[in-house]
Amino acid sequence: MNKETRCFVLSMTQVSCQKPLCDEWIDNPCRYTDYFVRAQEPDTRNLIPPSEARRMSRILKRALVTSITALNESGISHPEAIITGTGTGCMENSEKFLIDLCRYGENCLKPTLFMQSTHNTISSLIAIILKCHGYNNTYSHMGISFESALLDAWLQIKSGMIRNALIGAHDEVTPFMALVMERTHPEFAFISETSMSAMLSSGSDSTSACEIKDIKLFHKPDMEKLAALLNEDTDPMLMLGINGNPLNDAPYLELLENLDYSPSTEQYKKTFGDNFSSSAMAFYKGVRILESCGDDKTGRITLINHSEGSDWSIIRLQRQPGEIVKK
Amino acid sequence: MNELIDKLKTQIIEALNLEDMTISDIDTEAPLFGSGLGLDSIDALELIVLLEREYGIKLTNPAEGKEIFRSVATIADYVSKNRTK
Repeated sequence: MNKETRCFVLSMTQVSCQKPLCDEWIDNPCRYTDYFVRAQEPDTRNLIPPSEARRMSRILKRALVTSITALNESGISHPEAIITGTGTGCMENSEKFLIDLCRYGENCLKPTLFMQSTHNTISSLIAIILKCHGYNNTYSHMGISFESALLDAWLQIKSGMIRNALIGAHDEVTPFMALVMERTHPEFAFISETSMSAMLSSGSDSTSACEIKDIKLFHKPDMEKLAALLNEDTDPMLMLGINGNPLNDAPYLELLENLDYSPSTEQYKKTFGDNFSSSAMAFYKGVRILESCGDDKTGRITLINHSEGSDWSIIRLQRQPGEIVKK
Repeated sequence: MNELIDKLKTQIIEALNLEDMTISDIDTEAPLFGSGLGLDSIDALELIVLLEREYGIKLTNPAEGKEIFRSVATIADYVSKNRTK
């Protein structure tokens, strides 16, 4: 692996239960008391022609709008790779398709729902609309889907296989699915939806670009070893998936108890809710915090997430102001 | 026949997600494919499913589909003569 190659975040945008495609909510985010809160829908008409949008479900429109916006902001029109993470894919279409299957049998099913109910619909639709014929992949690993997609892009950029990649994490939650998740995921606090897209590149024209220093995934790690890893880097801020539900928070608290230092901590799930792509919003918020930390300071944040206590991810972000690494 | 035409227009709008259209926006005699509504081959498949579900009509000969789906008027004519429900 070429040790000189680095990976920067050029641009990103989001659709969530906060105001979409902007950061106006950052200082004063909406607070919710309901258990299930849907995403605030962005206006898609300026970016997706109505003739194309009419066949797209909500998650597809959100994914496309965040992808196009991130691309436009990055100045790159054709990414060399499109890599998506999604826990449950096009859930709304899948539900409709299965209901039709029960109601009408196998011989009378709608072709659009058949085509657009698979997990990799999202990545492939983005590629079709953008006319990108490069590497295209979808990771569907429940709560670490985003991290898996990010790791793929990061490794390919670091190894010099590609120069840039459009990554995304997209999950929608239907009312029926929210009812099911209330039973199957008692560790959630409130459920919402996520679409986050970002452009990554081996170089940046911006002095405020944030660098992805490291990504690590673990399955059922030893807490002391995980803490030892964090103790080596002593990053001053940890972004944690704490949501206020003891079933979810206990592993984070155990990890914090094993640290040799006292970092400041940020929590993002109380702002964006839980879903299988919610860790993408930790990434989003982490990058935004680093971008706002001043032009004369080096900022470092470590994002730590677990999925059902068994799968863990550690993502280290760093920003060195005044530094330009050409695209 | 007018009642069937309006019902078909409503069903077409719903089946093809023509969100911004009302039945008054669809010209009964205008071509559905190419010019006119500008529908495509996937829409044709959706219309075949629509006829089977709602009217019990199973199109087995693809060649006749081109004539049947020429306009809302031709669909209504075919449905009125061949419907089983």
